[in-house]
Amino acid sequence: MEKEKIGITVEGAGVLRKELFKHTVTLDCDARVEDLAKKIKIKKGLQIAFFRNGKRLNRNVKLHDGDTIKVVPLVFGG
Amino acid sequence: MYGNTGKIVYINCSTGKTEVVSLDEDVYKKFIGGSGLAAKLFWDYADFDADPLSEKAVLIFTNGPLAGVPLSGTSRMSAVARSPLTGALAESSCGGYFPPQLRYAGYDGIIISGKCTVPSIIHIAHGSFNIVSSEELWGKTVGEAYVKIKEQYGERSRTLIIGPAGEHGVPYACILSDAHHAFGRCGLGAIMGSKNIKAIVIEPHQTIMKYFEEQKVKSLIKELTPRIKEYIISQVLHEFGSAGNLEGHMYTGDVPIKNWTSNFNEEMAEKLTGSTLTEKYLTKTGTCAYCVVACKRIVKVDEGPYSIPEGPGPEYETVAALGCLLGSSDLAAVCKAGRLCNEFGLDSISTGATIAWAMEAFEKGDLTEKDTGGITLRWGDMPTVIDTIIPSIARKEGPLGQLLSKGSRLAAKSINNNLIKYTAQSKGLEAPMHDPRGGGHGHALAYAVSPRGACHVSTAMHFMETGACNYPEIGFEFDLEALTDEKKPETMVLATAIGSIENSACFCQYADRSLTFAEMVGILNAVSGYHYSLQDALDAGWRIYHLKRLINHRFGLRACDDALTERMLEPARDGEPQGIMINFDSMIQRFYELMNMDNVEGVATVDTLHKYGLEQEAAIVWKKRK
Repeated sequence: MEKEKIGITVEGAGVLRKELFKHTVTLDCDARVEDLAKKIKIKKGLQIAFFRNGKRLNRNVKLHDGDTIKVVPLVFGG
Repeated sequence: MYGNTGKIVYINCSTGKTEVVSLDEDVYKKFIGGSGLAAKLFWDYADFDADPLSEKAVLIFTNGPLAGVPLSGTSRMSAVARSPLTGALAESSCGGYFPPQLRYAGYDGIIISGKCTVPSIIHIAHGSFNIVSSEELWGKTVGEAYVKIKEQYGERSRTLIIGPAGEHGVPYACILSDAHHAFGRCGLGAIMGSKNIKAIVIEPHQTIMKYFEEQKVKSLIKELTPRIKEYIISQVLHEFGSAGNLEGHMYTGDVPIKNWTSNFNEEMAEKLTGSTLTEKYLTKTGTCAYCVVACKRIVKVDEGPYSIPEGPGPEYETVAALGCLLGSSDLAAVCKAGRLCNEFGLDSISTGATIAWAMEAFEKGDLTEKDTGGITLRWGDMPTVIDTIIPSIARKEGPLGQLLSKGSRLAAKSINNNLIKYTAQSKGLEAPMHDPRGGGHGHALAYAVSPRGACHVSTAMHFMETGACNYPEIGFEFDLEALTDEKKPETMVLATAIGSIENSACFCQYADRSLTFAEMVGILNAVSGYHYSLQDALDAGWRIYHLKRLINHRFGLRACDDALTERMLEPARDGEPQGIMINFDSMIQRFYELMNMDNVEGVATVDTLHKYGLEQEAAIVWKKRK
């Protein structure tokens, strides 16, 4: 039987704003951050982190239907 | 001699005499160039009893050994003196186009002492230095003076100019190169002003540099240039500037907001980040000599109360210091405030930080209208910041201008010692716009032990801690977690050496991020013939660090000055780092231990100093102690 799906809103922050427009990603209902990371495509070599409600998410945190996830590039300097 | 010329010019502004000082190759090998060489020259030439703004004080500019080599991020120079803001060693670095011209003129540096009788410029042409009266330039903004100088000395001349803030002795006045690139920190502009020097002007020179290994240098340039250009950080910097990832920094809790009382504001993140700057106000990019990254912003705000003509745009530090820190999300206002700092010749970090301190103190009732001359201070009130506060600081006008022109530490002390708790500084230097509570706990250590005060570029910790670089060839393979103290003292030991090398070889810390440590040393050897092994280079880095600490010791600084303020160490109130404590004391004690530094005197032990060839320096400092 096919797994139930959840919808996650994904939005790039900072230098990813242009590359990763706000859009919805459909994942299996037991999806974790790691699954989302595999699904999105970003510039090679860019380290990223995922945030939900301003809090950084570990890669094995479970996602929920309707979550909005910010994809934050970890480019430092300035 | 290769790369370097072996010649420094000593200018006595009081007598008008100039003298060429020749340096042995050994001095370069020991201290690399740039910041390290300047520290050595400072040790040799400074009067340690002199007030930073007195006639006896010296101001030293030194090129990196690679200045003039057509490779991205290598044509930079350092400036060193005693800071009028902190009383400690001042140092600042700058890119632009001046450093290669000084090298082509046949010199590695300039030592300036004394005081001109009238406002003057130092004019360098055909390899000779002259002091020329320029009273007509005094009182002019940096931009106005720049235009006049270009008219007189030609479009291809290059300049170091101070603004009214430097003329008035504001202790955080900066020096602008070609009205855009800055020796921003520690108040070097005030020192230039105290010597009645409005500008240093160099006309183009044609000398061809000699490299130790000509073919190797050429092949390295060919190999490294495309890599630097294609590196992800370079691309981000080119497209969005150094504020390109302000939004990303915000999510990690790295950006201090409203005088370090908050670490997260989504609206600010979106409205102030570099991509917004690019979309709304960027007209073109600018660059330093020979650099393919071109991270500089040229901006124009067409309409509204903050309209400004096309000109230099804000870097990350300026955006955060004059935006986030003041509680403003108005990017046009930030552009205008940043432009004003440039025109007046003010360090935008110290300016923003000092105003932010005052805003908080006013909000809490610790600063009143009596102290401000009737001016109300409110978070995000950019019209008052732009129309009243910044100009009054630059000219030390009125009670508020006089108060804030002291810098945050002294301003706080002059009202009430208790107000220092709201400041974010170390050794009196206002902290840059990376909050260690969110950016990484190693930053806290880096800020505290940096010789010039709170600084994120004097060591490589900022980049190492956040995974932006990796140096397995020298044992840096730690997998670091930003918000812990784990392995931070060990990282700091390496970061200290790497930072000293970067600032002395004068590598741009953006452009060199894609290079391995071995490549950095390789290009240095190929140009200058230093014959460094990787260990030799690290030793030179540590030698320079220890020398700077000895200089500070002679100014009376001790380990207890390696401190951060309460505000910087209290748990963050919101955002990603909310509630997390920094284990500062254990990090710093471990660092002293690893570096063989005395944890009271704040300098290396005699044996350690001897190991780095600093016997004479050790004798002076340790003998004095006994």
